Amino acid sequence: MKEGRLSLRDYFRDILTSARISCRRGVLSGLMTVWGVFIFIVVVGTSNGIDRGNRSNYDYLLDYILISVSPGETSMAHNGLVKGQMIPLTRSDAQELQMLFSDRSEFIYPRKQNIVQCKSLTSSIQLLVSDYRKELNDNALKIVAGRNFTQVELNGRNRICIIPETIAAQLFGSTDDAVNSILEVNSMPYIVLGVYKPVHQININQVFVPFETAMAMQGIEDEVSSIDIKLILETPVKQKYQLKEDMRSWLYFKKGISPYDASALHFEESIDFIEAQEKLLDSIRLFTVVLGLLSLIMGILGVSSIVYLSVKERTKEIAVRLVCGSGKGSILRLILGESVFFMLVFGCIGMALGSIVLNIANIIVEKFTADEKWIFIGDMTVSWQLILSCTVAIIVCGLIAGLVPARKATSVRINQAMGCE
Amino acid sequence: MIDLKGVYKTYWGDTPLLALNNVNLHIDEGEFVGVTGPSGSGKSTLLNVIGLLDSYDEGEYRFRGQLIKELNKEEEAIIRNHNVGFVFQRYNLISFKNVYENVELPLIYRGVPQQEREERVLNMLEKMELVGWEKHIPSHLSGGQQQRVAIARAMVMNPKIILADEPTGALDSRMTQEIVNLFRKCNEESNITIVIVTHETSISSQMNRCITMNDGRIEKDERR
Ligand SMILES: Nc1ncnc2c1ncn2[C@@H]1O[C@H](COP(=O)(O)OP(=O)(O)OP(=O)(O)O)[C@@H](O)[C@H]1O
Ligand SMILES: [Mg+2]
Repeated sequence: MKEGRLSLRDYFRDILTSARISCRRGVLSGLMTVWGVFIFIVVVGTSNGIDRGNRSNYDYLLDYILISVSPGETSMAHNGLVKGQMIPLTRSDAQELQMLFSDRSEFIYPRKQNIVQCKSLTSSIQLLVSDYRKELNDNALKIVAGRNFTQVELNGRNRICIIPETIAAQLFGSTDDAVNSILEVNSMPYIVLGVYKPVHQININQVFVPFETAMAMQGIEDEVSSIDIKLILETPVKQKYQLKEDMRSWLYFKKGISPYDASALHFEESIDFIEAQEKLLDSIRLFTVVLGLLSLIMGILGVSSIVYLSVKERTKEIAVRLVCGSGKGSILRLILGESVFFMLVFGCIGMALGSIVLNIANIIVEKFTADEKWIFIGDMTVSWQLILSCTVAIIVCGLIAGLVPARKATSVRINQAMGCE
Repeated sequence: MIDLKGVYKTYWGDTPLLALNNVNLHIDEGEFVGVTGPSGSGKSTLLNVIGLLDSYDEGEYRFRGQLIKELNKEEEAIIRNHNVGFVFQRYNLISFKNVYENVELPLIYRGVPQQEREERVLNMLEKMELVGWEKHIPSHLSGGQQQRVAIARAMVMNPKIILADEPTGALDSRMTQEIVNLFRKCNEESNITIVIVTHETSISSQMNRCITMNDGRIEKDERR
């Protein structure tokens, strides 16, 4: 063993003994640390919850980088169009776009969405009837009873539909009863082929029908709700904007809209939406990081003051250790060890309290937000990964808290410490 | 053993104070030396310089032939730990460790194995007539007993020299004599060089050599 050091056993024994002594006096500072770590874990947990909650609202969008064109109103007169005129989008617009841009996109589909009243025996509910094309991806729909559309059905115009579990339960009692039952939409009977599990809050009243069926549901034969363009994944941003601009100028030209008109047709991009959301989340995250750091600093100050006082009172003991052949490194480790010990003790109390509070809060939040369409706060419960990283953070904080006291301890001068009373 | 030539030390406080003024001193191995003098005459300062606890400004100090000025703090600490035992007026024991643990501490820092440690500590406690007190904490002991623990702690490392700054300053005359006898025993049995700073003539008169300091100078150096 190297000289001037304590063995591991003696090291821990010394830490425990002196910790026991200063612990009694340091209760107040200890509470400060408990509070600091408590706030830290609550803040981190809440922030995680907000993150998860918000993400869950648009997770599904990440699979589709979509540009969606929908009808709008002119904001200026041009080429015979008056201001405030509706600009419809039609099936033929979609077909022409498809011809022109198919090599630069994965698919271009017209979509039809109608909000309809649906009468049942007991109540009248509002449904969003959509064509099924956007969800062509099999992963998108999880059928829990009955079956999905066949390709032939999908291209036809039969009055058949797939409904979400929520509606099935509401109208037919159970998912199994719903299959092959009749759903009455606009006084027309639709056969329920299958029941799906809504992965999303916005799906809970969404009924899917084949495109042509959706088109036939409303009077104006040719008008569509939007044209969706799915981009080839990994399309560079620059090309993406170029494609969007090319499509815009072609549609504007075809419909005789002024190139300066910003509202005649709406171009939406899911990626823009995601970016906006992420920016919002980023600012929330930044806020919580600052708050979390401040509370950790509070924890550090609490422990630091305990250990500092302890060192100040123990200058003589430290001098004795030096006279007995202790190296400065050993003194340093002793004080840092003590500091980490305090931080761990109070930190774990804070962490435990924080986890309990978060779990309770989670239960309450879940209860109140069960029916919400847009989730703001998701799961806040503390994971073991968080506990682990928090423990590491606490140990690091303990080391930081011990720095100033340890420096003071190693600068003790033997002759002066021994002389003073 | 100890060789000081023209050593000066000044404390640069509010008013600079010459604490050691041209000190020339030679102490041989095995000597039993007393240092006396009025308060503020520089006795503690001299002891601190000898024990490498404090630096000096000018002159030359050789400890066992080694020129001290050339060493850095770590090297000084090593020489100190291997050669010098200290005894202070306030016994300076660690209050939350018992007698046994206090005496054991330097051996732990030296890395002496457990078995040998126990042997040496018990041996030393016996020598200091502290058998039966091993498990007591210092505050349970009388002043004289505490000072004996401190001496045991200094002696357990087998130092070449023991420096004691007013070791009996807080003790009554009976205990004082006890302590002096212990030091003499250490000196005679183990041939350890011992330097004791003291105010009391009753002690200094028992020394083989008595140095008297005044105003940072060595005023008298008598051998008997
Ligand atoms: N750290 C210091 N800073 C400034 N001055 C000091 C310091 N230590 C000692 N002195 C001064 O140096 C002088 C010598 O001090 P020293 O402690 O060596 O005297 P002493 O002979 O041991 O006195 P005493 O018998 O009271 O212990 C004194 O005047 C003291 O005030
Ligand atoms: Mg003195």
